[in-house]
Amino acid sequence: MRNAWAVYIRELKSYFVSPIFYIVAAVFVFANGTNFKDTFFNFALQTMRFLRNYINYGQAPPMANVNDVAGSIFTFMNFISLLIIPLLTMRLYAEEKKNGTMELLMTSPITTPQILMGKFLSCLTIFSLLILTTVSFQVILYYYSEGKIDTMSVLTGYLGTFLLGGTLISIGMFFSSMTENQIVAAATTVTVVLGLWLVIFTSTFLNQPYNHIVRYMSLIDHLDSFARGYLGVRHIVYYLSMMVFWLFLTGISVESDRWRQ
Amino acid sequence: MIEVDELTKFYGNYQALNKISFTVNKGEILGFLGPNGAGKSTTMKIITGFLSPTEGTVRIDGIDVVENSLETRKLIGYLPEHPPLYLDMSVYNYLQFCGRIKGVSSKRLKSSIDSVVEKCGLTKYYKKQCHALSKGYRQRVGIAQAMIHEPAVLILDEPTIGLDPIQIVEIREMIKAFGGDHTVILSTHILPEVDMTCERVIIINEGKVITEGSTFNLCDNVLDNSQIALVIHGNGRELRERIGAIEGVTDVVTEPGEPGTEKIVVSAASGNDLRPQLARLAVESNNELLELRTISLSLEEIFIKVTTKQPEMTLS
Repeated sequence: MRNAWAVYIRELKSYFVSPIFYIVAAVFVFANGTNFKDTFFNFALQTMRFLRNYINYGQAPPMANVNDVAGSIFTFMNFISLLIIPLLTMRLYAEEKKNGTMELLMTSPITTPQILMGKFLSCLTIFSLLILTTVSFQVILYYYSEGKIDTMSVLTGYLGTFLLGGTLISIGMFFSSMTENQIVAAATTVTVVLGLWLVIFTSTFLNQPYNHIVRYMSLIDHLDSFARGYLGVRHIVYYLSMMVFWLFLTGISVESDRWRQ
Repeated sequence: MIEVDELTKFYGNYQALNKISFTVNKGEILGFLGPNGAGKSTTMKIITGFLSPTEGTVRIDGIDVVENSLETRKLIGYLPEHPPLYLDMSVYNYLQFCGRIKGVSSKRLKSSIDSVVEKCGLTKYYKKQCHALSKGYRQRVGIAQAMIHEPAVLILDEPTIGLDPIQIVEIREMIKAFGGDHTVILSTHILPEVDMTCERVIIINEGKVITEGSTFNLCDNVLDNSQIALVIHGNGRELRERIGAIEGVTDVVTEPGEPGTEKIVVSAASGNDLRPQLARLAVESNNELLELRTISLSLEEIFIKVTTKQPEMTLS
């Protein structure tokens, strides 16, 4: 446990001195901020149109819902996560292999799962810090709507993003453990993650039961229920089992380096 | 302390090690010698548990390194060929991290760091970032890292490579000081280094142990005959004839020397010391004896001899 903690702390510190982390964080915050500004202004515009129509003509299209703005924060953040997480995970193993520090870790009395957990949790912590920056948008919405926002779906929405992040990180770690080239690690991760994301679009062409399998496989399909404020056990199980699966593969990949080379 | 038994390692189809066996006793400093690509690093990586052997076993203190890897890793301090530094950390933080993952208790961590920092001459540098260090100091940090948990066995892969002569001497002294109650294996292809630091040498080539022994008696193992050089005043024809008549002498040759002197090299089957006899003969034949010494091979010569002799040996 102490070993894993040492790795965790070292990785965290290492993120905070890495320029890539700051670039990623800046892009993440800026993109989310821009998205929030746009959807929020749109919402305000629609509300004003509604009022104008209602006052002038006594009737109007249905009023915009403030919860849609909150929902769009999550949709956008989840998509951005898919692009930034490979940049956070690419160094985890590839850098150690390139610098030769893997040799230090592998010959120290520390187990592969301990290293794995230290690295995984540090990246998850960093990701959590990033998604916490968007809480400010929810706070703005909360005050703007005078508390009419659905707090429950905001909380489950964050849980969904958190679980998605964990899954993406575990996939990224696996591809980082396969190579000593960080660019290759990031590129393969993006490719695989995009594949797992977009695979849902093939479900319309498939027959039963394959379309259900494909829907279940897809990273995106499970997020809807979180965004609507439900805690679906099967969705939580999906993300957790994905994490366990990819972390297990990472462990095998690291351990197999002793035999290969 | 370390028993290596019939170690074989294949990288794909390439055989890096071919049934290497040797033992290292407690407190011994063992030199591991061989040309590039001989299998030195591979052997060390297997002993430290970084690689797994294709066949064969390694035991440290009776514990198998494959079956009980975690236990043996506690006993070993390892400096790989390239010092494994995290370049974004300060020397102090780096050593702190190494101490933690190697199981140094929080109480002892600070005193352990202080002690290795002092031993490795890093007192002025421990606040510096690792990327700001020169090659020599990175090497020192690498050695400090290997010693931080006071391991029973220290394995150093080419510890003095890339250092300046003063640093080399300092690091050799450090290694010597560390030996004694600790077992040390160091690999190198710099031969005088072995001469100066090690008590015993193993020479490997093409994945096999060619010869082993103390640095002192290695010559006898390698040579089947010994040579003695005499330098005399004047003409030595008579002397040469009389030497040639001695039993056991296989060859007598003259080599050019200073003007007015003659250098005679006598080859004889190893085992009997001819020096008293030769001195007496020189006096009897009225040649002033200026010099009389046995020619011992330097480690370089032994090394070249054994590594080039190898193909013939396998044929016979």
